[in-house]
Formats: sequence, structure tokens, C-alpha cells
Amino acid sequence: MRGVNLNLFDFDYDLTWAGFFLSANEQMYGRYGGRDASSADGQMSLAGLRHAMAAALATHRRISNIGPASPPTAVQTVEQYPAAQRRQADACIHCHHVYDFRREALQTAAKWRLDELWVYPFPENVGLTLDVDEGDRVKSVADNSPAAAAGLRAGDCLQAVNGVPTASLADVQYGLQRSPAQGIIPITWMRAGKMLASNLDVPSGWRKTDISWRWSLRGLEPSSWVHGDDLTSEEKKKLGLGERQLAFFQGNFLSIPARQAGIRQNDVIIGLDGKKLEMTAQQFQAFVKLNYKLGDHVTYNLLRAGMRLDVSLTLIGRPP
Amino acid sequence: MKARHLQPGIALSITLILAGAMATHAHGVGQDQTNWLTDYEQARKVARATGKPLFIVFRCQH
Repeated sequence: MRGVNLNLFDFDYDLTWAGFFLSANEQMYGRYGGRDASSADGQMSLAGLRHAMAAALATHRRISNIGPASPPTAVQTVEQYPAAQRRQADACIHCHHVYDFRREALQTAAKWRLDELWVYPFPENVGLTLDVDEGDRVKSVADNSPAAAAGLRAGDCLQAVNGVPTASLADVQYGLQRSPAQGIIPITWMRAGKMLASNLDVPSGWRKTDISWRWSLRGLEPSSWVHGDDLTSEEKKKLGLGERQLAFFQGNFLSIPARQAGIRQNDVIIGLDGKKLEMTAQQFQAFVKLNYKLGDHVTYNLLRAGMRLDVSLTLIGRPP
Repeated sequence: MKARHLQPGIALSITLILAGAMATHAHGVGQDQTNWLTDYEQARKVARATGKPLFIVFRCQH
């Protein structure tokens, strides 16, 4: 990401693929890309990309006929973060490092809050499911959601979310990313040839999603100090565990804190502090980061050779 | 600020969208016929000269 203007190429930096359509004068026409916790590319298709490209071309034809260039975007690069400056000059700076470096800068200034993690909310967070092949087309509207209350229906074609023109999921997410933590999000759409407008009235906490897939989450403390693969459905059944219950093997690599606490390879972690958790091993890592702090004393609930066992551990920080 | 040559390590790819052509092509981007560039300022120059918009792709491998 060295040399990239983050003010211009402002996107979800945990993605492994992101596309932009813009003019030579850096007039941004649109975006493409996006993923959820279930897969890296389930939200993308060639048809969807073509749809977004067609919209960008139409905008280009319309705007390039109008007038002069828009003013240049102020430049911000990842090299401006202190964490980037500590890296060797030829060391790669990956996309997710932007989040890592930004977080460190905010933490140093005592300005970082957990809410910073809820980036690029999904349209589902406001009750909209979009068509993968036509990223501005509403596929369904959830009952009792902000989108339903605003009057949106399946088949509507979104025009703008929070002032951001929309032709793709990436555009919609960009508009939602810039939306308030609570309050009003303007939205416009077309239905049967008519332009309609309303507001999404979003409550506190609307931005929260499953962020367990995010690479940038790995650097956030505290670490759980336990890691491994989920049990299969069959393995869970043999142990009398529910299908959705948290259950993962402690893997071959035992962290020092886990070893010192007495956790062993192949122990099955099934809970924390007696809480019955329904989640995957990956989601568990995010759960610990979101709900615990450095220095917290926790009790892992385990199965070892079929026997229940509790092991206590302190969530210490990683060595510098 | 003049943009430096962007690191190929993040597989930044830039192409110029052929106006109207993408609607009829059956294949997707990234195949041999697409002329990808990796220098942003060079791509902007070509875009100005040809009047075409840019399609910029960021790919990050973890």
C-alpha cells in the first residue's frame, strides 16, 4: 500500500480484492468488491462486476461531457503512520496494515474505542439483502428493519445511500461506512420509473457484524492464547455436544500461557467462564477480543479424554 | 504529491475500460487480452490521452 492515497482509495482494507472506477482526474465513479464472514468471494460475480462497470461508464460519459476536473483529493498515505515508519524501507505494507497502523495511532493518542472495529457494515444490518449480480437491486427486505420502515421493497433499485451513488455492494457499504453510529441515513431508490427517497432510522449498535474473518483483528489484544480447528458435526455428536456449540481442538502449537496454565494439545475447548457459547473457533477469537481485556483472568472449560476440566489462564499481552 | 510507482507486491492493477466493449465481452477481467498497468500516474496519462476511465484493482494476499 506504499504510495497509495488513502483518502482517494478509501476501502475496506481487510479485503483481498477491491476495485475502483474513476476518471483520470480522480473523480470517483464507483466501487466493486466486498465479502462477509462466510467466504471471500461469495458477494462477487462477473455479472455484478459488469453491472458496476456499466454504471461507471455511464457516469463517465455523463460527467466527461459536462465540465472541468474536480479538485485534487488531499493525500494521505500509510507511510504517515508511525508504525509504517518503523518498518524497513523495502518491507511490504499490506492492505490490512492500514487498519493496524491506524489503530495503533489512535491507541497512542488514547482515542481508540472498540466501536472503531465496526467498519463497512452490511446492507443486511439495515434490513436490505442485495442481488449479487445487480449490486443496487434489492433482493429482499427484512421485516421490522430500518429499510422496511423506510418503505423499501424487493425489486427496488438503490440510487444513493448517505449521498453515495450506488451500483454495487461496495458502493452501498461505502455509504453505510460513512453513516452515523445512530441516527438517520438518507436513501433514494427507483421503483417503476419513479425516484423515491426516505431515511433509514438506525439504532445504536446497528453497525455490528461478524468481524471474525478480518485479518486486522489478529493484532488486537487480548489474545485467547488457545487456537485450533473446529470439531466436525460428527465429532461433536460423539461427545454429546450441540451442533452449534463452540468446540475446537487445541492444536499442535501450544502458546506459552496455555502450556503454563496446563492446557494440552488436543484438549477440546467448549466454553469460557462457564458461558455456553454457540460459535466457531474463529468467532471465539473475536469474542475474546471484544469482551475481555488484557490482564483478565479467565477459565477455559475443556474436555480431555472425555472428562470435563476447567483451566484458568490470565490474558497477558504479547511480548513486544 | 507525485505518486511513486506502486508496489507490485500488492498486485495493484490498472486498466482502462473500453467504452461499450465490456457489455459485449463474455470473458472477465484479468485474462490475457486485458492490458494491465501497474504505474498509477502512467495510467492516468493514458486515460487523459484516450478519454477513458480507469479500473483499479487492489489485491492483497495474506
